[in-house]
Amino acid sequence: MTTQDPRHDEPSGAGDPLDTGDRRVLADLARIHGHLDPVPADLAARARFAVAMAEVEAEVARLVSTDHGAGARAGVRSSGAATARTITFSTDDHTLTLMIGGSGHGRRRLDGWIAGGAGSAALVGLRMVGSTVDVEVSDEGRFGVDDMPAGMAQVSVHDADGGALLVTPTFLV
Amino acid sequence: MSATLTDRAEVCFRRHLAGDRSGFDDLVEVVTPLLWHVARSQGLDRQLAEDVVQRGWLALVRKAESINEPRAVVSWLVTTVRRDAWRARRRDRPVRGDDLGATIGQVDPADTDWVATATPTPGPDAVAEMDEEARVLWAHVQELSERCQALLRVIAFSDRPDYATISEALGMPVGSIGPTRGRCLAKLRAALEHDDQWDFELLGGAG
Repeated sequence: MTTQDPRHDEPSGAGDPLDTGDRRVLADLARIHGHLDPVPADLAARARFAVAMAEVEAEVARLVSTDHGAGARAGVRSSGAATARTITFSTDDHTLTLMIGGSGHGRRRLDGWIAGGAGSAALVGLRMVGSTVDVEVSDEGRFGVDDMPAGMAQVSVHDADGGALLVTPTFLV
Repeated sequence: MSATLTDRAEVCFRRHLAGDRSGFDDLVEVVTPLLWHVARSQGLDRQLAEDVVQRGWLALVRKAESINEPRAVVSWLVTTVRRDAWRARRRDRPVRGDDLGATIGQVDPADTDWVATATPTPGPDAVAEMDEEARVLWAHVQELSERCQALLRVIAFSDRPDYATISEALGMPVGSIGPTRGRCLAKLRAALEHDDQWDFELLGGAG
């Protein structure tokens, strides 16, 4: 491991106090980044939703991929409904795949598949704004919710004893 | 003297620790924009950045009791998001050997992995529609090392008295107490001083 002194190539002025020119540069930079790459408007709201769940001790699954329009690419032409979308989350032990399809009028259908963990997943909690539904997981690790409102959602996966195996961050359906 | 982001965050976090439920929500509101720029400055795409920011907040809910000094909550979050961003990116795509350790000496393996995508490259339109001052500045920013670009991006969304602690949380300690310019900003200023298009006089006494 290199332990090079970071001050080796210190440019002149690095130790000077910030002046008005520096403040102007930083204000410009904030303006540029705010323009090029704005903070998603609902990110704070989604984070607040995520932390309000009950299973705070469960492992938080990591987003692996989101695949928009898988159905369209496969040649499926859904008439007017939102394009199907697949989101994959994982922990060290589990992989959770969620397929979200439109069923029209701001309603969604969610199909999921949980793999790994020696089939220990028994119950899935689907948290939405204002309500939560529990659905059973099949022996093959599959579960589904036929009809749910579009909006923020969060999934938790539980074993047969009710222990939380994982939770997801908030995602949008 | 107005309250800095660290000051405001500390107040919110103390409220949360005291059992005030809205304290955490307010904390999320105050610090999420900074964490977004931390995650994005580490080279994550927008979706992974959103994920990592949320994971940072979920981690804080669980670890809140272990943070001994409420004033350190912003540093803790920045450090957590930076490290998680590094892990997320390593999973997302293999890291090429020549991306590693290309910049200054590191003290922490999580710091060695600042890759060439640290700042999103805007489309030509996005830059062109900005004013002259922004275009000139942006051209020089893009000449800086990735680490400097990332640091300046995050610092730009911080308040001046917080620069030293936030730099440290980013794994780039400025090596001095107090709001000094630091090497990245000094390099940028030196480049701007040699650019006729950058008019320091325009500043006047304002700011």
